[in-house]
Amino acid sequence: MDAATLSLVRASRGPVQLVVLGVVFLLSNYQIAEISKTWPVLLITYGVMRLLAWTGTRAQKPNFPAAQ
Amino acid sequence: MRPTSIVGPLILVAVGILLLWINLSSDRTVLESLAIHWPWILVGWGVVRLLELLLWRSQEKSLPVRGISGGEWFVVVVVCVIGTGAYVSNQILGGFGDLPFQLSRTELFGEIHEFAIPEQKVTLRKGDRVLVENLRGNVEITGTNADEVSLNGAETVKAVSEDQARSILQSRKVTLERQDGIVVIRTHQEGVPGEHELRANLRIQVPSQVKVETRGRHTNYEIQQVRGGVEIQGDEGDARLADVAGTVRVRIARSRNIHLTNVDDLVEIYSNRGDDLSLENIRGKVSAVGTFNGNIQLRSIQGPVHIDDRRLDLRAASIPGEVVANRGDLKASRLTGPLRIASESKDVELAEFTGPLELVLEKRDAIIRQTNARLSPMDLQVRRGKVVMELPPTATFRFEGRARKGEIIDDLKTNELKEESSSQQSVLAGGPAGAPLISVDAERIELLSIVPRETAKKE
Repeated sequence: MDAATLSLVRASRGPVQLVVLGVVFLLSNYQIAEISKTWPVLLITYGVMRLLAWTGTRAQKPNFPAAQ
Repeated sequence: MRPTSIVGPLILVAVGILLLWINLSSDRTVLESLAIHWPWILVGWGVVRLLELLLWRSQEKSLPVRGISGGEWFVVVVVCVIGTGAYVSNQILGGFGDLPFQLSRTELFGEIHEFAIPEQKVTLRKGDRVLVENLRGNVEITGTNADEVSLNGAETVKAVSEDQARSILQSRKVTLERQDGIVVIRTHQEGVPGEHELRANLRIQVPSQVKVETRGRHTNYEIQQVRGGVEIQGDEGDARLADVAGTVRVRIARSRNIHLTNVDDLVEIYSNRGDDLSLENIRGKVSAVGTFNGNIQLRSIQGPVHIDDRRLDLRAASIPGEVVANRGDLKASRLTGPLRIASESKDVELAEFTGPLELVLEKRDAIIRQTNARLSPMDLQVRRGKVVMELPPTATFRFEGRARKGEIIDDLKTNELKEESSSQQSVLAGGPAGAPLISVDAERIELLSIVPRETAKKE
């Protein structure tokens, strides 16, 4: 993952969580799925976005030679 | 530097389009629709911000570390709390009630449609009375020599189309029917939602000897030439009665204008929050209780009068002349006592009254003007203000005056009054035994000489 993609992933964490939050409330208001059941989706989204950012950060780190 | 975001303006435009669409397409109120669809604000906000990030990246601008700032998350939390609260009140508690900012399609885009009420008639039997129930509108009742009650007039309704207006009116009708000695006129407005602003303007003719009773909420009354008595009950409105006989009772909680002229009997008025009160040429006893924030005018009242207003207590045996009172002043002339006037907030000017007077004022001044040398007893108590008495030089009276701010001006000098002054107060007392007593307790007292009208004319 290059530096530009990594910064995009980091910046889009908030907007993606906002969209998921909106969808969770919409499902509840339209009486499709209760928010009391769907709330873990928010947790999953947060975790996935953190994971993506972490993966990108790892890929960016340079490999230092092992100490003798 | 972080690029300028277009999310705010776009959300405003989107919310505006959403509200317009709701108003035009559904009978739900704006609040009801927002309570259900508000999460689209969050979805739209997030999507627009994502698109923005992609745009900035394609333009090779530097991207923010956080796509949504701390302040923006705070706004999101506020939106969620308000949205959830609105949803709960709408779905679970059963709506928003009558909120002032809740506007329906009818209220926004409706027009007033008017339809005539077909004429109806009922013959009255001896001993019958007439009851009119009209929640909103105007009621005109006129007494005639006929022996029947006739009804016509017009109804107005607010609706988005003429068809809707007709269907609302046809769902109920104005009725005139006789039930157990009562001729009842009902407009049946109870079931029609308030947004349609259904009003009935009734023109009713009744035999002049009949008793008339009315009930309403937002109703104005104009009643004339009814000789069997009138009772009006309402929440809000005006009442104008003329040439009426029999007991008149008017109870309107929030009256704008109660105007009675030429009434032959007892008058009882109650208004919790009224404005103007005008009574003229009343031949019976008058009692008005409540609050009248506008002008009070009383003219030519032959019976005893009692005005029990929040700011004025006025009692008189009769009022051959007039009383005019507004928020700050009361001017009265040619009143018959025993008189009692008590007020906390009015300057009082009294002229040419007969009978004993009791005057109690809190922080205003009083002017007493009498040209007749035959005075009546007076008890004047003005806590924080002065009393000016303009009396004829020939007047005979005993006087007991106490001026708490130490000043008594005596220009009459006819009754051998003796003054005793101290740094705290002045006392002026004296006069022939057996003469009527004038007792004054005020901050300042002025006894001035008035030239009787006849003498002034001769000069």
